[in-house]
Amino acid sequence: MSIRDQGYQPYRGPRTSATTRWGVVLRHTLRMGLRQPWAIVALSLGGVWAMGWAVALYLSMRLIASTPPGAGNELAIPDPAALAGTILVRWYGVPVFAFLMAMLVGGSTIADDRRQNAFSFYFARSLGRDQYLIGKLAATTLAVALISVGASMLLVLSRLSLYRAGSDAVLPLVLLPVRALALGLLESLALAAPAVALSSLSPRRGLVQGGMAALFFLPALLGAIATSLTRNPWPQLLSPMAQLEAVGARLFGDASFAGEYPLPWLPALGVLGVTIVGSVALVRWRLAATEVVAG
Amino acid sequence: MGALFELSGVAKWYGPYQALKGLDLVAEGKSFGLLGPNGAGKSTLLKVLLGLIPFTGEARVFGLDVRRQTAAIRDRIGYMPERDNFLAGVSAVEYCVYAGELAGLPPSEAMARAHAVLEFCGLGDKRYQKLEGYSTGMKQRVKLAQALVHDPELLFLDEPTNGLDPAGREEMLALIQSLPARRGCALILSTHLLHDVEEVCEEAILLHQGELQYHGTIADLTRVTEGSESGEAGESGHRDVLEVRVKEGGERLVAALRARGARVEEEGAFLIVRGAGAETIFELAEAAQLQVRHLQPRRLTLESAFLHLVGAAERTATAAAPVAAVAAGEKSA
Repeated sequence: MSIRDQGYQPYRGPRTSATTRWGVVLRHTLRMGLRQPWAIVALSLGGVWAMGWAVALYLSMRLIASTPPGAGNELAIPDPAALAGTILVRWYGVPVFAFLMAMLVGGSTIADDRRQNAFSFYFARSLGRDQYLIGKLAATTLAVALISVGASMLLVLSRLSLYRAGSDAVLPLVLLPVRALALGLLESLALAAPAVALSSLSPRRGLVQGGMAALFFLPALLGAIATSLTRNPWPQLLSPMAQLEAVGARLFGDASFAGEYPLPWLPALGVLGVTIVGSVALVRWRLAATEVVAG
Repeated sequence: MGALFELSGVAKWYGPYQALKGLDLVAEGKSFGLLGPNGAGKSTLLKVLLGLIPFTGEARVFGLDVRRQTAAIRDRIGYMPERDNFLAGVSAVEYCVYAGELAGLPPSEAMARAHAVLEFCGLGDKRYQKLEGYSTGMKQRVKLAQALVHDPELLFLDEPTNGLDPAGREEMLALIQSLPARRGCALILSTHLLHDVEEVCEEAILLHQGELQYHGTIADLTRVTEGSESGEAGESGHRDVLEVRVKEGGERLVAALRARGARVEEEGAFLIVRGAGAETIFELAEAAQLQVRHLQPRRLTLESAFLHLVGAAERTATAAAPVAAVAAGEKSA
């Protein structure tokens, strides 16, 4: 075997701070997550879908502009709040692709490390378990935000570019990006945290991703059925989709997001918060019990 | 140079089971073999030195407190685990770059050093290949590379030759053996393959049932001295047992040595001499006009020395058990 040192010199330069190593985990996890073929598909579909909406919006605005006032056939200018809210929280909007991204990136992130016995790779170095968790969670959240925030911001910006003086209210338009960003980040975190938590429970990626799909869609389905039968909004509290819709309705001041039986926004936000905090606590507990050196 | 690591009364309990029983140790060498049967406490000791588990007592690595300066210590340590710890879907270069960055190297430096260390470990032409496609030997080398990429001052190697064929094993040992000289790092080799330790390490740390049985050079451990049969192998103050071979007329030397009060046994062509030094042997051989062809202190294999020490420890424990039981009975009475 050849042993070549190539003028080896030991490294004596500065080292990065041990408290910032979560950033290294974030970069690696994001890079590896977005390499997955289905993640690329989800990202592409989300982008194409948002682009489609943006084009539709542009065309409708052009049509409005070309219609002489008083012709009797004015088209309503799309309400910016409804627009952003729709794309962020409606099941046919961003959440489907965002959910897919959370399931793919988040669902595999810790499961893969567990299956590959990679914890000694991380924790025998100056990387605390909390930093590992922050890196993994931030990477998954960012991957989801690429769709949920990215797509909605694309739409919001295209709406802003079609501003019509005199017809548009300025304040809602100015606040539109901020609201879209806030709701998009909340949605990203609410999808990423349970995915990462489930990922810490099993080394089998398929099992985690299946569990994630069940946790997301089953309560939504049951909640919707129970609400329609009882004519009561509270069963929807089980559904992450309904929770996001309720918060979105509050944030954008448009009750139409929340459907026929609107769920109160505060309990919905509470459940989302509990889900996020509970997920983080679950991962911390799982990581604390992780063996680094076998034997 | 200060001690590599120091332990003072280090003890570790797992529920009712005591894995380490008050270890006191000052390690100042460059290459250590960490030996002991299963359950001896080797892995627990590694965990203590890496600051991975709580323990009682005091432990310092590079003079730094393991409890309070864990991050600073770990940046200066490399760990090659026994089990594969690869990441899914990465190449050897990506793996080593990631390892380097996690150990605090800036990204550009981590990249440069990852390439260099993979070259050093003999994986230069395979570095862009996914780790999933690596052979066992290549995997062992990548594990070594990821432990070396950040220029550690101390390297923990846990069964580094596991699963390797004889040729691969010799190559890996040659690589490891070269580390202190070529990379300037000290190493602790934890293995049950005593041959590996004999080949690579200068010193041995022998644990048995959580207790330190031996710490010293391997040369001392394998040296046979008078009285070592009663479990005092390698202790200073004892005279060496010597192996002698003469060209012809060995019986005359045996007679002369016995006349001087030495004990002599014949083992094939060799005479095993106890109670007489080299000078006496040469003097008697010259007087009897015999040609001494071979004379050296008798050495055990590391395996024999290991079994000897572990056996002695078990005999001591067995002998102490009834006494302890009686004492406990008297106390309870």
